[in-house]
Amino acid sequence: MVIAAQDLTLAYGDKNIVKKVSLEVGPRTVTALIGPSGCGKSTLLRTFNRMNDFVPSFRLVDGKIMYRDLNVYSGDVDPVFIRRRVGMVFQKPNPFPSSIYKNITWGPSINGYTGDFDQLVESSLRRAALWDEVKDKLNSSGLALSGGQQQRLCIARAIAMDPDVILMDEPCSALDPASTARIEDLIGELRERYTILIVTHNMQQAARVSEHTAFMFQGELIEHAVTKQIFNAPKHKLTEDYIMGRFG
Amino acid sequence: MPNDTAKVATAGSSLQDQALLKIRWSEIAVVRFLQVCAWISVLTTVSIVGILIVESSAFFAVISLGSFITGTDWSPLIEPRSFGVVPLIMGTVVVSVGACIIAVPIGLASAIYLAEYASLRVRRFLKPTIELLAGIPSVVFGYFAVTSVTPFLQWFLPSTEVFNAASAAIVLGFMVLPMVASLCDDAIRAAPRSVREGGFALAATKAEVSVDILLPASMSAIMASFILAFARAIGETMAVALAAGSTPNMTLNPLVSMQTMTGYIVQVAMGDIPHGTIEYQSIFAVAATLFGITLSLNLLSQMIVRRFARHWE
Amino acid sequence: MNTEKPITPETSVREAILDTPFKDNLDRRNFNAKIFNLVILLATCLAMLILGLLLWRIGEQGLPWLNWNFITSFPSRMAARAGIFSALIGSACIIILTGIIAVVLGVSAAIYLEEMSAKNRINQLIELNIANLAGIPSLVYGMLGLAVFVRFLNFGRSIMAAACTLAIMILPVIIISSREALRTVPPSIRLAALALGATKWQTTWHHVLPAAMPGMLTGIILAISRALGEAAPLILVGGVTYIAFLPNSVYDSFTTLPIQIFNWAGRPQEEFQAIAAAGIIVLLGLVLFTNGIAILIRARLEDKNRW
Repeated sequence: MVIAAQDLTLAYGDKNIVKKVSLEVGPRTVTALIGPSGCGKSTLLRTFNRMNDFVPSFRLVDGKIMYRDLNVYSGDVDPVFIRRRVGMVFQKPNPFPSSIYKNITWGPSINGYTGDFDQLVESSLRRAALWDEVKDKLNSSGLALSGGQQQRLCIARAIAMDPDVILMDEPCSALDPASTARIEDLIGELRERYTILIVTHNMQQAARVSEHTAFMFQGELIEHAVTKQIFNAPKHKLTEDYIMGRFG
Repeated sequence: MPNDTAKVATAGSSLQDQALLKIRWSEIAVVRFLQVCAWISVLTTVSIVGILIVESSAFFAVISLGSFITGTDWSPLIEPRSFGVVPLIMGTVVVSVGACIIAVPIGLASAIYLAEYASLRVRRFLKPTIELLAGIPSVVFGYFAVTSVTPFLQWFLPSTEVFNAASAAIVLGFMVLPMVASLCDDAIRAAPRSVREGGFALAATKAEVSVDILLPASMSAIMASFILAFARAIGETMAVALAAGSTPNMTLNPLVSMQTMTGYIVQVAMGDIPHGTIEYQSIFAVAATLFGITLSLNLLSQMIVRRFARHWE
Repeated sequence: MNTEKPITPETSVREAILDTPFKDNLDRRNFNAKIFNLVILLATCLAMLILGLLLWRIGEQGLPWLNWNFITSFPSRMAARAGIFSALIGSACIIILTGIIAVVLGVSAAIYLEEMSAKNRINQLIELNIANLAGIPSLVYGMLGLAVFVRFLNFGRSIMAAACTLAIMILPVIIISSREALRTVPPSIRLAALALGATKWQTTWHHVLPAAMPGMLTGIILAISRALGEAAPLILVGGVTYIAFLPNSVYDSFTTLPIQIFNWAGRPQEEFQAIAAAGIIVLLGLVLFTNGIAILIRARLEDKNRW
């Protein structure tokens, strides 16, 4: 197990968003979180690196989030430390309004990176399959790239931190089909190094990129199994209905 | 009889027409009036520029423009008269730069606090309080400078004169601080949440996100607010007139009395000046200089905002 | 990065980070963050502190002198007998007149620019012009008043000239804030009224203006309160400091509270400085009261400004 939720109940204010969810994610796998919008999958994802800390009404009601042997929400854990190891890619590409080079190096530099920055930029961009497109304009603004390129820049930025886990929050929902295909290919390559947890509302995408799939509905984890099994022989009626497109 | 009804009918419809026509006419009249009101602002600008040109050209017919701009002796009231504006500009710049040294860092820091750190409740209290500071009349700040700030300065810097540029600069700093804070607050808050999240996801602390990402991202608006604050300080009058004194002085020492451009104009205006004399015209020449400087600064800040504006999606 | 030792699921976090090329700098960074937090908090408090200090000092110096006699007496050469009656009445007359002129002209101009005019070059020019007028020092408006109202229109050094000068001075602010208020009114309201056959002006007068009123009011009150505390342009227009009678008409000469305070504060005698403080208390009371109303209206608006 690399990351896990144990009996987790989360709430915004008085409203429970995630209810008694237990989920274990193994190393170097891609796990997809699917479910209709509002089912709590994004909220769950954002607890793994404590990004929900910035939502004032957010509460962890019960249960635990574990990152390896660390209780993520225990009082003596620094969220900054967790985020060093657990990276995140967001729904909308959000490069910083600075150069491509600075976008990559900023995170490592504040976190005390000791290696060579030029090398880091090249290897991160290569792994994010963006190097060839931007190698001649590393000093131009990250905002000048196309949407798909921006998202790959954000992935490169996350990779540069040498993370253990990468969380992806619907990373393709703002992109066109061609860019989506490139990112999906990229995820396939990244799984060899990183543990990836991806939230998506696109079931085909889940089927294409993930080895495990977890289906959530109204805050509860309905089913969690190998992707093939979820899509071919779901055990639960709700899962089947969702997969067949009967709701959602 | 049928004839009559026809008449009535036409009369009725023509009445309606008239009513419609009336609405049309009053509508046009109202819109014309509104238009005239909008044009008053243009008229204002034209008048200001016109007056400054006409009155100061009378001044420059006597005093050469070159000796005005480069002259380092300003003694307009005592013979032998001399109209070199440099000491007044010097006084203005010393006071305004001093004001910015206070307003810029404190204003920017409070803006970061307001935008990023303060909870909604704290913000609701702080923002109006800072605005109250902006609402306090200039003459009140002047009084505060003379009766509180200057004695305080004299307490640990005994060489401080009764009237001095430093105390004017200090109160001026706090006068323009709310403007800096409010403009920078707006600029920082304009950055979308997603950019902040991007920073936090890379294991940055809140301070690092604020300083490394949000500040550079809103730098153009922040620079523009600094320039605006400087322009405001240059044009500020009553506090400076009370606190800085009325001795034109070619010095960079803020502890002595200095006269600013606005201070000179008020000094002359307080005495009864006959129209057409050189003193009367001199305040227009000084005002033209003041106007030119503040207008350029305002245009510069607008240009910065427009040229470098970051259009967040 | 090139970790040879395999990281298994059982590897503890501490072991997993051992081989990464990152220094453990969290303690230092968290310390820096705390310092930063403290610094900006102190900066914010400093602004509050100065406000408090200013109010306290003025209260301390002026309160002993503040009494009914001070309010109802004319200025005098002796501080103990001097009062602010004529200054208060002068300020009141000028502010009322200023308010009427500036609101009529400013709101009309805002309506024209926001509701009636096409977005063409000329109107863009007017807008740019207004934005720049707002940045002109108040003193320069005094020069305008002196040349146009006092001399050219021959109002003399009168209440009328002062009010016109102040009105022109706050006009840009009123136009800008009124336009902002008009912009918050959703277009659906306009379309609904226009669809019922109302003319543009009827739509504006009956529907848009009432909806925009609270927002406009905030800007108008703030602008008027600024005019109330303004002294520089009025000194140029010819405010005098010794007036021992009340005005009979708008063409009488004038003094105002800020001018009176400026005069007293500039004198070397301590008693005059003290009555200046007493005058400031009255002025601040008026200014902060009006400001407070405006800020309250705005706070209300921000809370329920959801269409």
